[in-house]
Amino acid sequence: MIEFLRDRRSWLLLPSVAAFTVLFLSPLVYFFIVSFWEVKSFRLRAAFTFDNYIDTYNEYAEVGLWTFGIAALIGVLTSFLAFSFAYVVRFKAGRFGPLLLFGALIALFGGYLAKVYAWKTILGTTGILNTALLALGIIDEPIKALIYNPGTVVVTLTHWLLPLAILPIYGSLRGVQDISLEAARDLGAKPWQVFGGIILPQCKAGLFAAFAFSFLISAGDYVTPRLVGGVSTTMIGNYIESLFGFRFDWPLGSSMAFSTMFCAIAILAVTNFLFFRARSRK
Amino acid sequence: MTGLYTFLWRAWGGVVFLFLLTPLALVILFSFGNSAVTNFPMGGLSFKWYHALFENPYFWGAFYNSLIVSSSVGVISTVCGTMAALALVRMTPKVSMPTMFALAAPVMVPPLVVGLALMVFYVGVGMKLSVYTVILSHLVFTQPFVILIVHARMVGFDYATVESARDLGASPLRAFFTVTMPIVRPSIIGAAFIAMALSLDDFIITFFTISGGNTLPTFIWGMIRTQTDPTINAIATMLIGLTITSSLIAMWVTKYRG
Amino acid sequence: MTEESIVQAGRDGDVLVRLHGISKHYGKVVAVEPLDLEIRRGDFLAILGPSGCGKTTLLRTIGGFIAPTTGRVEIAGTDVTRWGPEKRPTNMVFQGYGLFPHMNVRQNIAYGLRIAKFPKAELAGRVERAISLVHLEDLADRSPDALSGGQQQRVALARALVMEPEVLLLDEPLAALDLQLRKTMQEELRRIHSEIGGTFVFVTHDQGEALGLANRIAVMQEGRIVQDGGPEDIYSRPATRFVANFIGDANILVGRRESGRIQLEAGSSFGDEGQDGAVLVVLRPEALSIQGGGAATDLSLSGRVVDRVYLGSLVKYKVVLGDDQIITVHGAVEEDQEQIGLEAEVNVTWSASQYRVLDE
Repeated sequence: MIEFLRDRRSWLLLPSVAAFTVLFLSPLVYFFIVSFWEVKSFRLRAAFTFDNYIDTYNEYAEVGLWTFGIAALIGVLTSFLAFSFAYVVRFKAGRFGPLLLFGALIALFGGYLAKVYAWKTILGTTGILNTALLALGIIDEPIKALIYNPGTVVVTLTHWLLPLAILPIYGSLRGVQDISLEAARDLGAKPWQVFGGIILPQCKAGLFAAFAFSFLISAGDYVTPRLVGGVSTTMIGNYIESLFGFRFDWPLGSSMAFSTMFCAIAILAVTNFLFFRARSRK
Repeated sequence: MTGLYTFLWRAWGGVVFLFLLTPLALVILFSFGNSAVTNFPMGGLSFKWYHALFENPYFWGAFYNSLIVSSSVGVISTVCGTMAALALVRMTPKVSMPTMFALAAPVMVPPLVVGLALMVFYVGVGMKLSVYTVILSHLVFTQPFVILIVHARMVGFDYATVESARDLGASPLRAFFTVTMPIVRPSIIGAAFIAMALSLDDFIITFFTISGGNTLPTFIWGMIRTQTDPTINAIATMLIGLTITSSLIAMWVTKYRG
Repeated sequence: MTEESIVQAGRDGDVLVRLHGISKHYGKVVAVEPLDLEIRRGDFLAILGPSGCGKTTLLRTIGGFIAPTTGRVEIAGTDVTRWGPEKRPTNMVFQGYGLFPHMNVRQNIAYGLRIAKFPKAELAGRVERAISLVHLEDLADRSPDALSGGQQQRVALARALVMEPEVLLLDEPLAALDLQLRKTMQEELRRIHSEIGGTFVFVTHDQGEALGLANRIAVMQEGRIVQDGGPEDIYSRPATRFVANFIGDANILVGRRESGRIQLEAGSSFGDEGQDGAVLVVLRPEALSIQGGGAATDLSLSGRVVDRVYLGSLVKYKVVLGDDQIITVHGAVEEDQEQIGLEAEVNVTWSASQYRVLDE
């Protein structure tokens, strides 16, 4: 450690580490401490109470489970789509590969709100899809069920997260050497054995990273359910956000945020364990 | 037989491709429509939503704030991130890997949590929320990308070039600006544009740390909640254009391929 | 036809692989012109040629990685042209090895046997034998990433050999190794071939490697096999100017044959039966001897020494001839007398059995 500090180059890390400490770690720790405080007559008061966590558990456990269910669904769907797309780009698309990948990169920077808004205009009752179907005579009246339900949230978030998930998976697929696939075939492996025994194990880490990222981000999102989810799809993020708006109960909001994060991390740890144990057993 | 399979695989790739890009294409398309609702069939083409937008003084306020925020974030996080990457690349993987992992952690925390924590923290330490707090907040999640991009380039860097420069009489600083910098400059510029694009696009963290005033995303948010007219398409199109342009510049200068 | 019909039977010398009119086109580019090749059981065959001559394409066609544009591949009498590599009784050692990074050395070597569902005990026994054959006992639990190039090469070799293939295919097996390692691996490959027998086919652009390893060499040029024979044959009786140049150093002298006599542009003339016309005379540097002065004979040329390098076991001279062509002569050390120095006028001679005439 002393040597580490004596090395002049280590000081180059200082601005980054300072920004990380002051603007990420400290706020997070402070925010965590606030979750043990209490609010008395609209004033924040330092305390040490678990009441907020008890309230969170009693009142929001169900919302939390529902949120994790949706987030898991989005995570699985996103990872699956991202993997299949990256697989096509890497192994099947030939000269179309770069074009497909370029599309994914464009979609990466489309703008978060712009995408949510796009789905709102597409799926709305008088939106693009309904009016197009009406104009084509396929339906007689707008399908109201297209928007303001959990499905819309799943589609919208999957669409937003997909490019972010494609990149790490494609990165790991690109690391798979073509000759190692030829070698496997040479040694008698059928195509599905090459896929399951050579390709998949090598991109497990990328696949899990994509799932973890999509799961965490969806579990904490509140904009999408607010804009396209309707009343039936209120996720934990919406409740948290409302506690910082007109309800002004920061300690409860903080305890909800940290409960959500800890649960999400626990779920990911279990998933990670199950996911990678299968490999080491083999 | 193999031809059919290949075709099916490619068709699937095409379906996902369309799923990714169609919504964006529709937003852009309808921003040039002339009817007040976004539906089919879409009447004629016009720029009237752009005119409406440009006449809105709040838009210019938001635009100006976005410009300040994203350019400051671009500069500051590129400088900090590049310095960190230069330090990390000279360390053993045993030290540098966990450090990088820790510095990248903010990216894995939901923006809602980061935004709230920062807001509560700023209020707690008595800082007034403004575009400056937004700039500080954006450093948290843009810096990891700069570090990753520059570090990736520096890993393949041949230090013999720097040593040759030193051997030929250059001071460490001079060697950095005459040898290291020109070689890794494309990556650094690319990282800067990525940071700007990320900053430009952020809504959630900005929303909680700006208090009064708007940036483009919070301006859009206000519009989406209060009205639906194609002015939103126009501003969304501009935002898409800006983020895509800056990321394309980034890819082009770093010669990023996949 | 099933895979089981190919069984390891037959004696050395039987034809094992028969390529019949094999060619390969990539669009308009012709990689391999239609060619025939027979590989006999026990052959250690080198396919030798410069890069881009089609040698790797040919090897991959045997392995089943490339479907030929025309022609037929037979292995042990069975037409396997349409079989994929997973069905063929061939195994390949790839250039760059293609080791599985997510498996350790032992798992890499066991992979093929596991796919073939070998019983556990037999699988383990064969894997251990393969490991000891290539001397990897101490590294069997390492990841391939933690191995040196030479060690990775051994893993790739063991992974193919453990399958006991009818034909072992090696694509530039030594190209990625440094000089010292290349020599060691060369000896290793020769030892393994003599220890376990079998048929090895390898591709190389290095003539030294081909001469040092193979008992048979097929020289390829622009998609064709231009000569196919034992190493001595190829070296001392090259069929074309290309072969003469590609294998070892060669002095090539231009001349004409008229009614049984060859007149060299550089001077001398000597009797040699054959068709009238332009000819090339191939003289290996070590087949030449050098004398200071002395009488000119039919089989000699006079010239002047322009360069002289002492190499320990021999002395290498560059001699400029009458027509300004420079030839290389390897002189033995004992006849290296002091009077043959730079600028010395010399006679270069050879004996009647030590040259080769190519009709142009």
